[in-house]
Amino acid sequence: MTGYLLRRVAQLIPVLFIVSVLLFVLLRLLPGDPTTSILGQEASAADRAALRADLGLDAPLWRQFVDWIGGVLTGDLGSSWLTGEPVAGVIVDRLPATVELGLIALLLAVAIGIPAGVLAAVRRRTATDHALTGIGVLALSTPHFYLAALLIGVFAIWLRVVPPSGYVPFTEDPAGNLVRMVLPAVTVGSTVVAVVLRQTRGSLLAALGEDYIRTAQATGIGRRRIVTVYALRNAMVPVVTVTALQIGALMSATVVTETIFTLPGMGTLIVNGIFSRDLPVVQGAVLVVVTFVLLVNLVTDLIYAWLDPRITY
Amino acid sequence: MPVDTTPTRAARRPVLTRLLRDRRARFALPVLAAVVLAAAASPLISARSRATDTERLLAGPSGRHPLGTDELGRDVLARIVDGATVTVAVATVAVGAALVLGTLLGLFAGYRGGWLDAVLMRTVDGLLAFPLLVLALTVVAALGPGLRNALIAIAVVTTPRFARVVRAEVLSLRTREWVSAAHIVGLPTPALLRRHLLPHLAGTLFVFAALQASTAIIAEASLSFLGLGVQPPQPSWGAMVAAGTDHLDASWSLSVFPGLAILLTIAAFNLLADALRDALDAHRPDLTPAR
Repeated sequence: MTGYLLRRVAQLIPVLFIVSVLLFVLLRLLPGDPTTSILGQEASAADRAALRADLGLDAPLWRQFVDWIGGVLTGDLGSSWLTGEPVAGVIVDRLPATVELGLIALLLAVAIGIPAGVLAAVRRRTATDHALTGIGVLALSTPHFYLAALLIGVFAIWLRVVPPSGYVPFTEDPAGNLVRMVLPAVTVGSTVVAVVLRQTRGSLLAALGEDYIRTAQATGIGRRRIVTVYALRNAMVPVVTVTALQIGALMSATVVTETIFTLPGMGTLIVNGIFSRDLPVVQGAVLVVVTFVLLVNLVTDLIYAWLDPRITY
Repeated sequence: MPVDTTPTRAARRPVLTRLLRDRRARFALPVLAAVVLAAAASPLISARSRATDTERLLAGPSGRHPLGTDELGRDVLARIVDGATVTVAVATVAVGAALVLGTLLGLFAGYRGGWLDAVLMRTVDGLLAFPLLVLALTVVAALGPGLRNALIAIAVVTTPRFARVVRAEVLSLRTREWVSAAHIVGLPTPALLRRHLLPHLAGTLFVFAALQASTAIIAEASLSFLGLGVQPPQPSWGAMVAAGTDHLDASWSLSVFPGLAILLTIAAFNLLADALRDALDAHRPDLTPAR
């Protein structure tokens, strides 16, 4: 196991390196002079040259890359071109909203998706199954921004039960924070619910067809106990994996959702950074997001290997 | 245990017949045909989709404007029809480019192996580590907003997915007898890939392309929703929902109908992929041992 763990961590390093090269090169393709967007059209050539030197833009590309990576490795992601604030600090400020949104969405998805998937499996080929599967397809086919618009329209504007947007930190006003998080979390969680439902239904049906279930039935164990104890436990392994692999899709969803509900998270940070052409912010924020996704995938693989001893390391 | 390899009667039917008997395909194909027709009709309707009826801003559905008007008094139905062009471009141009490029990369990487495979696949791993929309945003950040750049961004995010799937298929196919035989008789690699591997990939590619089309349409709509995709005055469904979101208190219909168009198109691609997979699978002899 230790060998496997070390090998998997070692595999992560070249991927992270390639990610940072791709990210750096992509953002350097940006047309136009960044000093124009910072200083404005009227700035003198001398001011601009001074700023370029200040930002390190006069150095050759490889040198800029080495400086950036060197900084990243020591926890320094550079400074925002617009505000001069350290990017690492800005990201730390933005993380709580995104992490909270992601966690609530995931909890909702599991709390609804697993029971719904079990119900669809045990009521296979009945109206209940068709309805649940249909809702799953609908949820997978609804873009997050559309669901968000519908939810705001119904619950914030028509029924007026929740505020349409905005954010209060949990530490300041827990109730106000949670009320404002409901719609965004439902939005982000909608596709994950559908994935969890499909996977739970599929693996439970597969598990119920196994020989050990027939044996359990033959010994006279009740149906409820067979489903919840014998089949579900084995069916859960792929559900855990598939849910964890949704983390990338979850991050894509938060980008759009945070923008609509004006939540100060990583998504709005990236989108606003792109609009204001604040390269160091976009670069740092995207790198943090990708690293996080890769780490979650790694942990998932390790949990999977630990749960299922048949996997050889 | 005896294995029954005789195809069942249902499996002997051609794929297309099986597909047309599938309820999911019967929903999906007319919806997709309607989208293509709308895109084809867009030159006829673009004048109407740009005309402003200043008497009726943010109006609800009426006889004159069946789906209402937007904040500039433009007809929402005409704009939805006109906006279908963008959706069709995403599903054909962007996904098509990714399909061709990704298939070529996957074929060569999988068949050749060695350092080429290692370099390509690590790059693919790197690209796939980005959440899809985050990578598309990064590409758009580099190239600037607009339809053409959004199409490029979507092709960039989709290509590695095709490469990954094709490579996996090639790895399992290349050890088969007919491939080794073709190699032994000295068939040049490009001809071998085209004649002896590609035909076996077609089914997988069709299903995967339908799924990727649905993802790509969501990605384009999201980019346009964020204001980084199609730029005004050209209509796109995502940007129309965005405009509707800004005026939710004044008009319920403005975001509902364009969003419904996106939803139906994506659902159609998802269901078509499911139906296609089943139609193709049943066509293969059923090798599961009889119990």
